[in-house]
Order: sequence, then structure tokens, then C-alpha cells
Amino acid sequence: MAGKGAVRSIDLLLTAFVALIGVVVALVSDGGTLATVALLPLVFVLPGYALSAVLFPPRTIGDDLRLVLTVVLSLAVIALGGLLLHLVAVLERGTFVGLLAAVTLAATAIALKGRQGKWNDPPPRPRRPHPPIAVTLALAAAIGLAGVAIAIASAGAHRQIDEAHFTSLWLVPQGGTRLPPDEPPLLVGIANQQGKTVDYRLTVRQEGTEIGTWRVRLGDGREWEIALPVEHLSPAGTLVASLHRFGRIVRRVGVRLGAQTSPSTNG
Amino acid sequence: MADLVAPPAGSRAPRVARARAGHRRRSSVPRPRLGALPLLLLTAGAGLVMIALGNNAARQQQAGAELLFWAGLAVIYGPIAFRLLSPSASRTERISLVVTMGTALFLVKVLYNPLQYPPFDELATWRQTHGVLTTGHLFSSNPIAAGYPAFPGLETITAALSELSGLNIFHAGIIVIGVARATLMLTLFLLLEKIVGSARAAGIGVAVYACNPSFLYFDAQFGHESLALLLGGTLLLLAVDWVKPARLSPRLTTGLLAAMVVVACAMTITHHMTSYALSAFLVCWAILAALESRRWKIRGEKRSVPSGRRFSIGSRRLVRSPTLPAVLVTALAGGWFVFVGGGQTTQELGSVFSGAADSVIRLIFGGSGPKTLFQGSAQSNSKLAQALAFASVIPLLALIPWGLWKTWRATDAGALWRSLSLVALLYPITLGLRLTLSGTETSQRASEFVFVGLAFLAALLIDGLQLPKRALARTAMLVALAGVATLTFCGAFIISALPDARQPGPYLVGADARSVSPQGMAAARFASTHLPTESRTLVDRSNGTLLGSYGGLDQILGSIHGIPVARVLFGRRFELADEKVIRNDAIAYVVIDQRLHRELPNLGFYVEPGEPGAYTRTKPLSRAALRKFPVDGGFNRIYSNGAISIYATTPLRYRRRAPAGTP
Repeated sequence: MAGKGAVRSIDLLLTAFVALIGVVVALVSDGGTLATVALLPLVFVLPGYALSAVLFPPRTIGDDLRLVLTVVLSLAVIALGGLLLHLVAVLERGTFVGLLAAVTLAATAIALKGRQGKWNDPPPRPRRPHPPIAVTLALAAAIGLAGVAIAIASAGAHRQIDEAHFTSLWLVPQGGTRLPPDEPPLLVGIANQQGKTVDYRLTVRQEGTEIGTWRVRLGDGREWEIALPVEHLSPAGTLVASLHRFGRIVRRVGVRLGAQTSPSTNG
Repeated sequence: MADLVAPPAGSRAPRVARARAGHRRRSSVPRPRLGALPLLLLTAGAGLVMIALGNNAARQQQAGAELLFWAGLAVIYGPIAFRLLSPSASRTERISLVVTMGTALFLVKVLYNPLQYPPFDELATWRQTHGVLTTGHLFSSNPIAAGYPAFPGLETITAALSELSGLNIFHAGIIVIGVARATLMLTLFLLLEKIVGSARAAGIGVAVYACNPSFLYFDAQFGHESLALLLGGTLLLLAVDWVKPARLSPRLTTGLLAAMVVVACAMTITHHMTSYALSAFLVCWAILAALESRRWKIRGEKRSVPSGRRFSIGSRRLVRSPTLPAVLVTALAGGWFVFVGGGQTTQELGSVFSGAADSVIRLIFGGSGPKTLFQGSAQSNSKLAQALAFASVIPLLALIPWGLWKTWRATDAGALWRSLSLVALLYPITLGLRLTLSGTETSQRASEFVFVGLAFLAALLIDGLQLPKRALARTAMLVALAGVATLTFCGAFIISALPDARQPGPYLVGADARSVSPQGMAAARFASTHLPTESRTLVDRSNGTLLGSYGGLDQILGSIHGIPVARVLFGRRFELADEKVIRNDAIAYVVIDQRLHRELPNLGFYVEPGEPGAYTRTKPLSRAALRKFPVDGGFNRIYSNGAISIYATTPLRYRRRAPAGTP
């Protein structure tokens, strides 16, 4: 009878098995398509299925309602479990894996216990019909078409992004976390989004005195950044960085050093 | 117990019975009749490809973009609606079709921008989820949407998926909302099937529900409501099972109760409006059910509560009625409002509802005229589109009196039918709200709830229509009905979104999704790597959501000491009042988008709806207004990419004020 019971509870045993596989994958993998596929059931299916098995024994609800409850209870477990766990722990990978695995395995155990001894005269369950091959092929084709549509839309969005040709220039005081600082050290940087490799000339001057000039060859999508030599800077005065291309200035940014005296009253 | 299993008439009961009778040979397992499903799967896929091509054409401003887009929508919706109307489709086919329809229409939203979220709501959710991932805690503040921190359900789920799978927030969010959408379609089908008792009616009802103006974009976005609708629908489904007259075993009663509690809790922490709307509906249903019982007693009819609906908790014997779900949802939503999210909810929804009420009062008493329908600040719909939009509401309006007559006159109509018909009655009111500027948002946000009532009436009435016996006449009638449904679906989308919001395209000023540009993204990337997080920043709305999400800055809105902060961006000169705003509101950065002078903002405002000149401007901002932040004037221009400049206000905020009398 025990063996028969195990056969009748194959769904729950499978649930526990897949949950354990998910835990292993979550612990040893840092991501990737396979990991995602292996972990999706742990997020969307397993906790809810196990809970629905506890709350609604077999054949008390239809398969379609159980499917809805499987997804909804899985999502509810994460939302509510996360809310409770955040009071006592930091929500991170291990916390979520522990939550989902614990709920799934505990609910599976309770459901298995609830099914014990209930298989003396089980009514035979109707075999699940298989979808016709035409539907399977059409579904595959439809998924393929949806993939093609997303690929087309992605290509269009990328093309639109690539059509925007511009260069970014920055001169920003480094350091300080609470307030925007206005003191050295300063970083000056360039980002090229011109769609091709570009030769730039960057000059930095303070009150007319040249601090430095750099010739920078930057590939498309690349950035260049350097810290200005502190020993060349005066503690006060306006610092201006000008970016030249084809012999003319294309960007200019400026920072006034030493402006900070004391915080003014904020009214 | 069996009633929860027993499918309604016309479904697969005979098959199950035959299987139980011992027909276990493989050959006896019936194939599910899936009819036109393979073909309709392919047409839905083809419709998606057409929409993707149409969107690409719109990005390049090529001819035919709109035609491809609308044709794609019609190809997805129309054939499925036709098949759902057909009496020959099986239950399994209908379920497959509604899930196909919901998923395909969800992908239409993904095709708008498959690379990133557009502002506004989705980036607010992105920021909230990013907060969970980076801090490991919920409830971090959100400068983009004040109400979001108090409802962390969606963010927790997305963060869990992202943490476990290594997916970024964007892809994790699409999967969560996609799964929720597919499950919502099944939930709505089961709900309507239980209520009306027919799989065909349920399919028709779901097709009509998809005609709600929020269905295509708003409820497919990475937002709280997209998930909460599934939770609310499931709760209603469980509540309908709960009040069924059949006898339930104690275990099943406990199971239903526990499931309702879990789902109600999850819904409460996910979305305010869904909780409040469902609470209102359940209370209405409970009141009508109580009045119904009372009427029987007054009439002296001995309609005692069916014994199957009695249950006991401890020694107390109770009756399964809508009261318990109503009390449960109301208590949870009320408790969460009082102890957690009240302030933030009031802040977020208060302005929406008070604005709507105020504008309606002013409209009624002549304080202001109605807004021009189908027209934004800088764009309008074509005459044809306007005609289509007007025509689309007629069938829905026609359903209401017919449905009310049927549900209130029929002797066998229960409290649930009557409650749903009352929900449908709200539809004309929500249409009226669209006559005002502030009421439009309320109308839009109510549609996903109101359409549950309309879907019920449509299911009830259209399923009850007598179809002609002659095949040709029957087909013609079904084609006509499917055509009306498609027109209603397309018209609803015209009502909900102005032309520039329907498809992607070149940069536009103040147009949320259309205002996202590579320059804005570059500025946000710079801010995230070089500027202190949560720095207070004055910026226009579109760049504000980019900087507030990907950039980690906090956009400052509202006013300080009675001076609106947005005014700093508008004047031709930088004045003393502007300086006061920056000093007193501790604004660390001012971000200027030089493109703002090109045209009037699409939404009607540059920074926020309450800014000076919102919705009433006739000219865009001047160039001078955007170039008034010199280094000598106290601004450090720390970043520029041509279109966007970022100014640090450190010199201005910390320079010593000149003594009085100094020239």
C-alpha cells in the first residue's frame, strides 16, 4: 500500500525533488539561462502547488483552479514571506532560496501526511489528454513568431539609439558623499557615443592658466577619465574643461573651486 | 465538495465520467478539441510581427507605421474574439484562446520598448525593486512615486526572481508581469464561468474585459496593479466558491478560508486601489445578499439558508456568505492603511481624487469648460480616430440598461449578479469624468475594475442571444459581433492613449516614454557613477524618472515656503526667488535639457501637474530660460552631453552672502 501511495503522490515527490534541484542550482550557479529555467518553478510553481495540495486535497478542486492557485499562492508566499523575513533578516539570494525551499518542502510533507491512508479505494483518475501535434507545432511556431517580433523590435530600438551621436564631457569633484564637493581632486572624463572612433583634444584651464592638454582617441561606446593633478591646481578660481573636435570646441564644462566658505542659513 | 470540481454544462464532465467508468485504454483518452487554436496561435504571432514592424516604422517616421500597428492589433484580437463567440468551440479551446489573447496583448506592450522601461510608473517600480536588491530591505523611500514604498509585494517577488536567476530587474519584471497576465486571463475565465455558468459566456466576457482602456499598456506595465488584478481576481474566484450552496467538508472550508486569507494579505501589500475596489465590491455584494435574505423573511417565504452553506468555527455555527470575504478584505486594507501606508496612499491618491472631484464640480457649476476630448497639449487624434473612439463606447453603453433589466428583473438573479451589474453602471460615470482634465486619470484607473461588471453583462447577454439556425446567417452574425468587439477594443485604446503614446518614435518634449533618449540615459549613467546617491535634484519629469531610477538621484517637486520649485527652470533670468528655492530646499543639482524649448510638453507640463503654467501654456520655454545657469552665477556645470547639462549648486548654496549695502 505504501508503494501505491508513493505512486499516487508522485506529484508531491516530484515537487520536493524539483525544489531540491532548484536549491542546489541557486547555491552553485550565478545565473545564466539554464539556472533561470531551473529556478523559475521554484518561484512560480512549487510553493503554490505544495500549498494548494495542503489546502485542497486531490479532486476537491478542478485542475484549472489548482493551476491558478499554484501561481497565485507561489507569488503570495514570496510577497508575504519577504515581508516577514525583512523584519529579521536581509533579503538576499540565500534568504529567498531558504524561504521558497522551506515552504515547499514543509507543505509537501504536510500534504503527503494528509494523503496517507486515503488510497484504499481511490477512484481512477482520468488520463490527461495530450494536445494534438498540430497544436504543439502551432504553439512552437507562435512562440517563434513572438521571438521574431521581439527581435525586430529590439533591432529597431537599438538602431534608434545608435542614431543618436553625441559626446559627454564631465568635470566633477571627486569624493564626498553627502554634499556635492567643490574641491580637488577632480575627475575629468569623456564618453564617446558618436557611432565611430573619434579623436578628441581636451584642455583644462584655471583662470587662463593651462592645467593640461590631452589627446584622446576613443572608440564608440568607450569612456576615458583622469584625475587632474592636484599640485597644478590653485585652491580658488574657476576651472574650465574644453573638448575639441575638428579644431573647434564641442563641449565645455566648468567648476568654481574654493567657493565653499560656510553654509548659509537655509531660511 | 464535488461542486468545486464539477464543471459547468457543456464542458468535459461526460469525458471525466467515461474515464471514471473504467475506460483506461490509451485509445479511449479523448483528444482535447482545440478547433481553431493552432490557426489562431499563428495569427496572433503574425499580429505581433506586424506590430513590431509598425513600431520600427514609427521610430523612423516612415509611412504605414500606424496601419501596421492597428492591423496587428486587429489580427490578434479579432479572430480570437470571433472564435470565442462561436458556439462550436470547446471549453479547452476557449481557455487556450483567452490565455493566448492576454499573452499576445501583453507582448504588444513589450514590443513598445523591448530594451528598457519607459517612464513613469515602471521606473518607479524599478527604483523600488533596486532598493530591495541593494539594501535587502523593503519600504525604502521613492522620490518618483511617493506611494510605492508602502506596497512592496511586486518588488519583493521581482527581487526574489532577480536574485535567484541572475536576471536584471527589467527581464525579471517582464517575466513576473507576463506570468501574472496569463494567469489573470485564466482566472477571469473561471470567475465568469462560475458566475454565468457557461464556458462560451466566460470566453466572451474575457474578450470584452480586454476592451478596457487600461488593458493594453497600463495593466501590462511593470506596476503594482498589473499583479494585484490577478490577486484580486483570484480572491473573487475563491469568494464565489465560498458562497456556493453546496455542502463543503470542514477541510475544504478551512482550505478556502486559508487561501482567501493568504491571497487577501498578498493583495493588501501589493496595491491600494485594487484592495479598496475589491473591498467596496464585496461590501456591496454582502449588503445585497443580506437585503435579499431580509426580503424573503418579510415576504414570509421560507427560503432558509441551505444547510450546505453552514459551517462552524469552534462552537459557533456560521453561514458562508459574502460577508466574511468582505470583512476580511476591508479589515486588511483598513489595517494596512492605518498602520503602514496611509500617509503615502493619501499623498498619492489624494491629489488624483481631489483633483477629479474639484474639476467635476467646476465643470457642473460652470467654473470651467470641458476639456477637448482626444486632444493633448501638443497633439490630437484624427477625425476618423475620434469617430472610432465614440463608436466604441456605444455597444458597451447599450449593454448596461439591457443587463440591468435582466439582472434585476429576473427572479433567479442573485446578489452577485446584481452587484456586478451595479459595477457596470459606473461605466457611464467614468466616461463623464473624461470631460475633465483631472478626472481623466481617475476614469482610466477605474476602467480595469468597472470592466469586470461590463464583462459579466456582455457574457450574460451575448451568450443568451439566439443565433440563427442557417449556417450562413449564423456566421454573418458572429462576424458582425466580432467586428463590433474589435472596434470596441481599438476604440478603447484610442480613448486611453494619445497618438504619440501608442507607438515609439523620435524624441518628444514632456511625453514620458517618448522623452527617453540616449542622452538622458547617458546622464543617468553618469549620475549613478559620479554623484552622491539620493542627492536632491531639480529636473524635468522625464529626465527626473531616469535620474531617479537609473541615476539614483531624488527629484524634488512641490513648493518650498509657498514658492513652486519648478519655477527655477521657467524664468528667463535667475532671480532671488529661484535662489531661495535652491538654498531652502537644499537642491544639490539642477539638470537642464536644452531640448525643452523645442515644443510644448506633450503631457501639458514640464515638471509636475501643479507647476505654474501647467496645461495652459501657449508657447514653449525660451532658450534663455535654459541657459541662465553660469559658473559665475554660482553653478558648477559638471556634465554636458549637448542636450543635457548637470549643474552642481554648491557655490550658490555655500557662498557667503554679501553684507547689506555692498554693491
